[in-house]
Formats: sequence, C-alpha cells, structure tokens
Amino acid sequence: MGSSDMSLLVVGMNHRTAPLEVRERVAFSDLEVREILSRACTEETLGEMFLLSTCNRTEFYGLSNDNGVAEMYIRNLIAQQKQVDLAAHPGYAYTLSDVESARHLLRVATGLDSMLLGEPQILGQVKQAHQLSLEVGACGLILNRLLHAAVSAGKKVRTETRLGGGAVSVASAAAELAGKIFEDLSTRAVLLIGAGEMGELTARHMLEKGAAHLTIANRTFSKAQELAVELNGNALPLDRVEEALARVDIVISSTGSPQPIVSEARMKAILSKRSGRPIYIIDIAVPRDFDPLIGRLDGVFLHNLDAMNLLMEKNLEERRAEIPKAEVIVEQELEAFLSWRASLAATPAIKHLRERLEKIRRQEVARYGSRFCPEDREELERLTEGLMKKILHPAMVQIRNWSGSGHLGSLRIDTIYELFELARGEKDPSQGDEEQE
Amino acid sequence: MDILINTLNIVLPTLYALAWADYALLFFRNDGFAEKTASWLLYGAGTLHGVALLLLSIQLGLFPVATVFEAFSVVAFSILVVYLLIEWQIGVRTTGFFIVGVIFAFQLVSSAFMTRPTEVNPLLTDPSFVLHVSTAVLGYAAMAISAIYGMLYLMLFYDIKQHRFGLIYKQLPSLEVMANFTQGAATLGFAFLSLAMILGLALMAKVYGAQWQWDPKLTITFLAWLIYGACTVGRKLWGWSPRRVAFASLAGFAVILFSFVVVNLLFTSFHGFV
Repeated sequence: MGSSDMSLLVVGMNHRTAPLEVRERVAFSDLEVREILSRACTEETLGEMFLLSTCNRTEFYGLSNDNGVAEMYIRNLIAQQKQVDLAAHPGYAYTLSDVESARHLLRVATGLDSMLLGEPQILGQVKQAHQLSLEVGACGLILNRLLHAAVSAGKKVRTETRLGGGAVSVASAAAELAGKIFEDLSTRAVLLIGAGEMGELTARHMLEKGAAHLTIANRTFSKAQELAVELNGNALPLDRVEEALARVDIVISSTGSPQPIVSEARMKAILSKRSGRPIYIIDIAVPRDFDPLIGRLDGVFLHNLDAMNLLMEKNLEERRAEIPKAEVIVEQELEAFLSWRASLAATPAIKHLRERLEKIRRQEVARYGSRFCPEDREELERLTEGLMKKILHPAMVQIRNWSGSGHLGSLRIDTIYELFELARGEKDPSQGDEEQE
Repeated sequence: MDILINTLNIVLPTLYALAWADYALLFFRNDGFAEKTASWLLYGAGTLHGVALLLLSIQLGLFPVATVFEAFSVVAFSILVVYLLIEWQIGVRTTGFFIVGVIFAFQLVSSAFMTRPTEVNPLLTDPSFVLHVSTAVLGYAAMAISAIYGMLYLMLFYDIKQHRFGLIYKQLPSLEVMANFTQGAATLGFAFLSLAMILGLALMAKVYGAQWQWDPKLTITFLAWLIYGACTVGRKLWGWSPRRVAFASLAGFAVILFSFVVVNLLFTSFHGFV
C-alpha cells in the first residue's frame, strides 16, 4: 500500500493541555529524537514520523495504516521514555487525525497555536525538527510535503500579516518605544540602573537592537563590573548616576530602592545640562525609581511597567485581529497539500494504463512489423507511438483533473482498471517515481 | 490651449482627492491596494500638475504667480515635489495622508477661484520679480511642510508621553525623523524667504525708489521670517527642544496663512498687483 493510502495523525501535548512540570518531563533532546525516529523507522508501525519538541509542546506526527495502533504506539513510547502515564491523565494529550493533524501542524508553524500568539521562534523550531527527521530518514514523501507547506504558511503569515507584529514582552516593548523616539539606536547610549534580571534583559534587548554603548550603575559595584564585562559596557557606582543621566539617551531603571532615586528637582537640574536632547527613561522598578512628575518635563519620556503593559496589550489586540488573515493562509496551504496528496491516488492508475497500452502497441508492431520494409519500421514505431499518445491524452487529463479536485473516487479508479483490463498489485509508483508522472 | 488648461484645472484637484483617499486608506487601514497605488497616483498627479503650470506659463508668457490663487497652485506643486523626495528618502508613506490633504486643499482653492487678470502689470514679467515670487513661494512650501511635520511631531510626542498607543503611534515614523524634517524644512523655508525678502526690497527700491516700510504684508512676512529664523537656530543657540521648534513652526505657518489670506483680502497693501 502506498503512502497516499495512509492516514496522518498527531499525538501530543502543549501549553493548553498539560502543566509545565509535565511538559518539562516529556521534552525530548535532539539525541533522544534521533533515537526514537530511527527506532520508529525499523519497527514500521508508522510509515513516516516527525517529532516536534519545544518548551511549550511535544508532538509526534506520523503516517499510518491504522491510526488506533499508531496512537497506542506513540502513547506507549512516551510512557516508556518519560515515565508519564497518559492514561491516568487523559486530558494531557490530544490526538488528531489526518486533515485535522495537517491543519494543526500548519497552525503551529504560523504561530497561531503558540502560547504567545504569533511568536516567530516556532517556525525555526519546525524547520530544525524537519531537518532532524530528514537526516534520520524518518520523513518521507507525505510528511516532507506537509512540512514544506507548514514552513511556507509560516513565512507567508510573517510577511503578509501582522500576526507577529508589535512587542509583547517588557524588554521588546521598551525597545519598540525607544525606536519610536530615536530613529537610529546605533548612536544612542544606554544606562542601566540596578543589575536585576528584568533590567538586564531589557538592556540586552536594546543592545541587540543596535544601541551603541551601555553603562551599568549598581549599589553593589562588583556586580555592575561583572555585567559590564559580559555586555562589553562600563560600570559606574550608584552615587555617580546623575553624571551619566546628563549624557545618555536611554535609561533602564530597576533598583530595589524603597523610594525614588531621582526627584523632579534633580531631573530639572540634569536636563539643563542636556541642551534640549530628549531622554527616554524606562522605569520598571516597583516601587518606582523616578518621581512620576518627571514624566511631565519637556524632553523626558518616562514609562513605567503600567505603560509597558498597556503597549503589550494593544499589540496583542492587533495580533488577535490578524488571526482571520492567518487562518486563510493556513487553509490555502492546507488545500494545496490535500490536492497534491489526492493527486497521488491517480499515479498508479496512470502508470498501469500507460504500461498496458504500450504493451499492446509493442505486440502489434512485432506482429505486423515484418510486413514492412526495414526503412518503414521506424516510421511505424513513430506512427503507433503518436497514435497511442493522442488516444491517451484526453483520458490522462481527465484522470488528473478528477484527482486534483478530489473527485477520483475508488469507483472511478476501479472503472479504469476494468475498462482496460489492468493488472493490480504491482509496485505502487508513488513510492518513488511519482515525480516523473 | 484654454480647453486643456481648464480641463487640467478640474482634473488636478480630482486626482489629488483620489490620492488623498488612497493615502487615507493606507494610514487608517494599511490597505494593500493603496500601498501599491498611492505613490504612483501622486506621481501621475504631479506630472500633470507640472504640465499644467508649464502650459499656463506659455500661455501667459510669465510664471503663473500673478494672483494669490495661481501662487496657491505653485505652493501645492512645490509641497508635492518636496514630499515625494521625503517619501523616497525615508520609505514611509504614512505621513502622506497629512501632506497630500494640504496639497489637495491648496489646489482646490486655486482651481475653484482661479481667474485670469484682464491686464497684466508689466512688473510681473520682470525676471527679478519672477525670481522674488518664486523664492517666496518655495519658502512658503517648505514652511508648510515644516509645519505639517511639526504638527505630526507634537501629536506623536503627546501620545508617547501620555501612553496612548493608537493609530498615530503605530503609523508615524520616529519623533527624531519628524523633528529633523520640521527643522530641515524650516531652515530651507527661512533661506528661501530671506532670498525673497532681499529680492523684494531690491525691487521696491528699483520700482518705487523706496526703502523698507511697515506695510501690513511686509510686516507680517517679516514676523514669519523671524519665527522661522528662530526655528533654524533655536536648538543650537538656545537649547530649544524639538517640541518648541515644532510649536514655533506651526505658529510661523499660521502667520503665513494670515499673511496670504487675511492681509490680502482685508488690508490694502502696495504689495497687490492685479
């Protein structure tokens, strides 16, 4: 039986169905994935297999003759490898069959199914998992095509919609806002006050976006120095922060100070040294490091955590509004994949029909060939070949049309076989040479 | 030729209205069709506008700046040329909605009220007069662009300050870009207006044998010139913030509009020739 007769399925769990501690346990390393896929290839329960394992999902995609058996095989595999009893927690894992599983992979690759709607990393993870499956030889004709469709859908969604647009984390929101104030971050100096995790992450993001230089001021000077070495910046004692404030363009502040470290009056004095140059302050400390009244001063843009959250929520709203456009792209790619898969059903019939008629032609030419002089035999070959092609052409076109539109049912295939007395049970051409068809 | 000019007089505001609608679709809905067509529509309108001004110049035998409504059309064309250069330079079309709206308004007023003077003052054909008016008109166009970008700067400035992350925030380029255009266009406007004023004073001395006089038109223009001068040097000399430059540019343009419309209509000035 060819892969066109087999059915797709996915068994998996993700952020919506299983808690983090379970997802952690069922995450597979690249090494484990290689081993599992290699074993699955030899055991032949699944015709093809592909395993996607990220921090938010572990999904086994397969192609099988019997989805019930295949599902049990995968569930047992998870239970054995990761000691997770899925039978005890039936809600953790989900199984989707055929068209639904194909649609699911396309939605995953586009970021529609991600915890953070439209996040871009998943497309790279799908590509990486595809590569791994190809290397092991577990990914065959059907899954390969499906994965190409998934990557294509992911790219289209990224370029044709805003599903991945707008910052949805504090660090990226701060960088987005900085980009709305300053045209080019590569000429901008950044000051990080407090070496906390969130502040550090935001500073790293600014550097990734091209910020020119980073100064780190911290109560514990040694910690500022350590981070400065790591991020190729300068360290500054906290009591000298005001001199840096007169110089830098972007400030990220996240100290644990119980009261503001910069008052409105101090900021006014600092601004007088800045010759009207604007300064952008991201105050993500709780309680806040900068007196909120500073935000009213000309030339100061002051954003606290609430402002960041407001921007992130707006961006998420925009992403949600793009879901219908992304879904349309998914459906278009899915339809193209399903049409292609349906066209595979026509391949054996077309091949057998051609072979049968060619056989008849050869027999007849051999039978009557001796009545022709040697010079005319070549002409006879050409004539009969041309005749055969012309007779077959409309039938081939019609079979392909039925196949492409999904109207090539088993009844029609049977009719073709019966009309031309074709022999079944030969090698399925879709196993290897369908590309020539 | 009259038929052609009259037809263009109707076609131009229509084309600008269509282009404005296209830029509106782009600004409000990120429309894909508008993204592809807006600039081309504007290029088309600009080419026809250039042809119309050329035909008018040939027909009149002088650059069409004899009346305030002719000058409006030249201002519209100048704003268009500068805007297309800006769009080409920054690759952002979302500010077009605001600029093309102003171009449309200038051209509409020009087309609606355009009348041909029965007698042309011979002074209007003097090359130094043509240069005087042309530099003034170019200066006004630059100032209009400065004021529009100043207004956009202030809109985005207050949106960012007050944490309003709506359409203005999403669609406009960075504050720095708009501050640069406000300042750059103001400097250009100041330079052209300076030239226009020098030429005007020279013409005045030549024609009337008179020196500077506190004529309403001249006084108001002098005030605008001072404001744009301040925009040009304010940041460097007095540490003005971009916000202050934007406000000053808007104030300067308000003065110019006042000079263009109110002074021309309500006051008598030696500065009227038709």
